[in-house]
Amino acid sequence: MQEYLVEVKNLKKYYPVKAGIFSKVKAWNKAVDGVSFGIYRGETLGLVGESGCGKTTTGKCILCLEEPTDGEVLFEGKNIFELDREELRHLRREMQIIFQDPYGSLNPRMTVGDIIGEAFTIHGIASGKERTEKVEELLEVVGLSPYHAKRYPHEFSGGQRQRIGIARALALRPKLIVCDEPVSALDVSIQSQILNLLNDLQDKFGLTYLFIAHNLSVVQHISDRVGVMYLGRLVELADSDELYSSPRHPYTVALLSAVPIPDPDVRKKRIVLEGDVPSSLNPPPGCTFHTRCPRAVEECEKIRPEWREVSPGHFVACHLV
Amino acid sequence: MQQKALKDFSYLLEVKDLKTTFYTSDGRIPAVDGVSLTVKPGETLGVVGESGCGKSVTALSIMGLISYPPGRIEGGQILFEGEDLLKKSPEEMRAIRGNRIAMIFQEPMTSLNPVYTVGDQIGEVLQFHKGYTKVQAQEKAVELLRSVGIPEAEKRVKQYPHEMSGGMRQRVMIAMALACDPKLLIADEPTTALDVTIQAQILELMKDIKERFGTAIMLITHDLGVVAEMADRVSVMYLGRVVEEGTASDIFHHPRHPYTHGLLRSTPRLGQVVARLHVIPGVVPNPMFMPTGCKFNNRCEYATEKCRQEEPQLATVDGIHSVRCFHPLDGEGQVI
Repeated sequence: MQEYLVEVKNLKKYYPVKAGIFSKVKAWNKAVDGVSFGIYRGETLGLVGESGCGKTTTGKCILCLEEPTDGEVLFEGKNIFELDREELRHLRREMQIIFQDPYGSLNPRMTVGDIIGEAFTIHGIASGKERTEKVEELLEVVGLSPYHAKRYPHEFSGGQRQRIGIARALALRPKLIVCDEPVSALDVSIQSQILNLLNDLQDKFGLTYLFIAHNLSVVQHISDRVGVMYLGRLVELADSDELYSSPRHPYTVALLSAVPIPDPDVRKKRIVLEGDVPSSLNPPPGCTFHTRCPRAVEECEKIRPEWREVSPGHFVACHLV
Repeated sequence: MQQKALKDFSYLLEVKDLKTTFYTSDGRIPAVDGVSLTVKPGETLGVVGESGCGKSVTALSIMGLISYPPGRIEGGQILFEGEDLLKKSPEEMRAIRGNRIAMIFQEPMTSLNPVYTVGDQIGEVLQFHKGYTKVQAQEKAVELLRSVGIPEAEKRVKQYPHEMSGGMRQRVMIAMALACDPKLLIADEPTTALDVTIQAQILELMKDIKERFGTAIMLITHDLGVVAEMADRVSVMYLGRVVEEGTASDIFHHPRHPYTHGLLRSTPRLGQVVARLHVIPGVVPNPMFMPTGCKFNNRCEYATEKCRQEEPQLATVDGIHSVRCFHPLDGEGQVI
């Protein structure tokens, strides 16, 4: 398992902010600012962080849906940004995405069968009766029925739509699936159904997941390893158990302490962070977290902390660790 | 039940058998179908349930904010300090709303008016209910913003909602709700749209308000963690009904209704790793095609023929713990 399927090296994605009649670039929005990590074959890597921390942009860069400003993404050792059209087309079969919004991500004018089967047609894998059979098989795999293939998305509930999205992602038997907040729009009882389904599919097809979410309890449940992002940077990455039991970065500590626990007798000591997340348009110098960090020292305001391995497999970017 | 006279004094809000129905082109939707709940002065009642269970419609009914058409309150009573709000005229309701009962909404982005400064919006409440002049209202607005923890309140009071972050806007909403020192604050998913560190700030603020002003809070949410942390008592709703109510400890440690039990077990918890999550099978039925009998029978592992025929009533099982079920759990069932 100790082989990287995907390796991300110093990934940066800056969006230009344009202004004036000549659309002059006024500033850069540093959505992702120097992120490095790897995803092992067959594991689930969780990526958590608050809104605007760059977790979705990172996922999109890995899928080659966004071209990064700088850095590399290696998929099975090959830099995906240097592939030609044909190679990229082939690569697209290897990685897929499941979106957050089960309402917006399915075309309302297509039947479920066409939504799932489209990939077979595009990649010339199956057509006609064979395609129908494959679609029906996929529907059963995700817990729907073959007769659902003739229906339209509006006839399904949120949880069922998310199953359709999962079937579509599975169609080409990819190696990697990026799950971008796949359960945030769902109710608790449906959320657990989908999480269990994702687990089963991983076992069955040997999938690798990049699981992006803001809910720390969900990420802990599903992930083998977890990375925490803040303002476009990774601040900590470790085995799920280790990260949750002994977090090292002050932001991770605060984030974990902020999660309400469903037990009225637990009165935990909470670290309430002051203020809001600064804008990524003009991130603070040095460590971006120093403006809210309860332990910040002078060094934090000036020097960007290095991303280093503090114990085997446990990476932190903090001067104080 | 026997001490009826005493009961009337001890509740700030008493909702009895409320029925709110929507008439749409697709048919009749009984969104709230016989909900009863109570809030005592100074206590926090948590109302939990999944989407479509009628928790927000209950809140809007209390506030008199159900518009007809399509909605209509078809039965029940809403007693606030002993007076039935359903018998009030629109003018009388206007004097209560925002004054003695205030509400904060889920979306801090859309529930503020973008073309007025936050000072004007907070001030409006004071001018309307308390007869303040514009200048007095602005002064009080600064004070309120300060009390909800907004730094540089003098500067912020002149700003527009778009100049503020989500957490800041929710603080403004809370300041506005507190302007007239309400007896009851209804908070409908107040932290759902916020990030977890900002949610922590808002929850701390709400606890602080409860202590400082003795405001009773009706907290509506789907997040069991938030309820466990804030609520003294909890009502669990499913398909327009209260299926279980009790103290927070009763509900979280000794759930008696299979739905409550399932909900608690299907929630992943921080610090507790399980291989597989518990699953409540199926989905919430379409309210236009309600199952007969107990509304939960098609998803319940304990359902019997009786559950499919008759609907159980909310009945007391232990102290103030009640449950709407023919086969309640013994309360010792292991919750993860």
